[in-house]
Amino acid sequence: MLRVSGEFEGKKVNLQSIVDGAEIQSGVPFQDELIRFAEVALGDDDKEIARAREAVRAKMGDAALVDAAGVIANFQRMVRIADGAGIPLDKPVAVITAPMRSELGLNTYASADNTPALNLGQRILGRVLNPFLPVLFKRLASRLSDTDKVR
Amino acid sequence: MTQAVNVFAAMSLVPDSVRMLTRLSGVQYLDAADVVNPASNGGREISRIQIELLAGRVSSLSDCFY
Repeated sequence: MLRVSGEFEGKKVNLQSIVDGAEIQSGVPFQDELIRFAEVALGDDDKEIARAREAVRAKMGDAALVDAAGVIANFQRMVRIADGAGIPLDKPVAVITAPMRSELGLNTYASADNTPALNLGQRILGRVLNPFLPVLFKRLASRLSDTDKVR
Repeated sequence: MTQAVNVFAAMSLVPDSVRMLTRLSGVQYLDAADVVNPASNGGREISRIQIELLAGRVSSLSDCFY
């Protein structure tokens, strides 16, 4: 979603920053403050957390700090559910994200074992669909928007 | 028929847990309709790419494949 949302905002995002942190320039505004906040929030050093929190607050404001904390909390929880239950990646997502997962090295994560390996046809399909992801999401978003209008 | 994503299907033996997760995710991250719309930040103070950068970094640090 980072890659696709970046294209929607007209920004080329370097996904490697997700794996390597702030050493990589992602192209996302205030990436250093946000990544630092996410990294220390997963630890237990209260002083570091307070420092990172204040940095986000100073650069982005109170409301942005609250929203950032919410996202961090949400994905800490999702990890526990997904990996605690040992669920596999949803098949359509597994197919269309295969090239990206391979490039970023995500297949080396222990929890990757929960998802069955793709067959050759699925891997090829993933490569073929990969360039069209933004278009596919745009169409999906448009359909959802139309559904909202009907409601 | 709509297929639930696996993270919700995994909890579906306890329907209230699915409802709670849906509501909590809508508050902390995005409502379900906004999740699949990359143009939406759900009215947050941070942009969608900032939201997804945080989501991705937290997931990566936790070695989360999902």
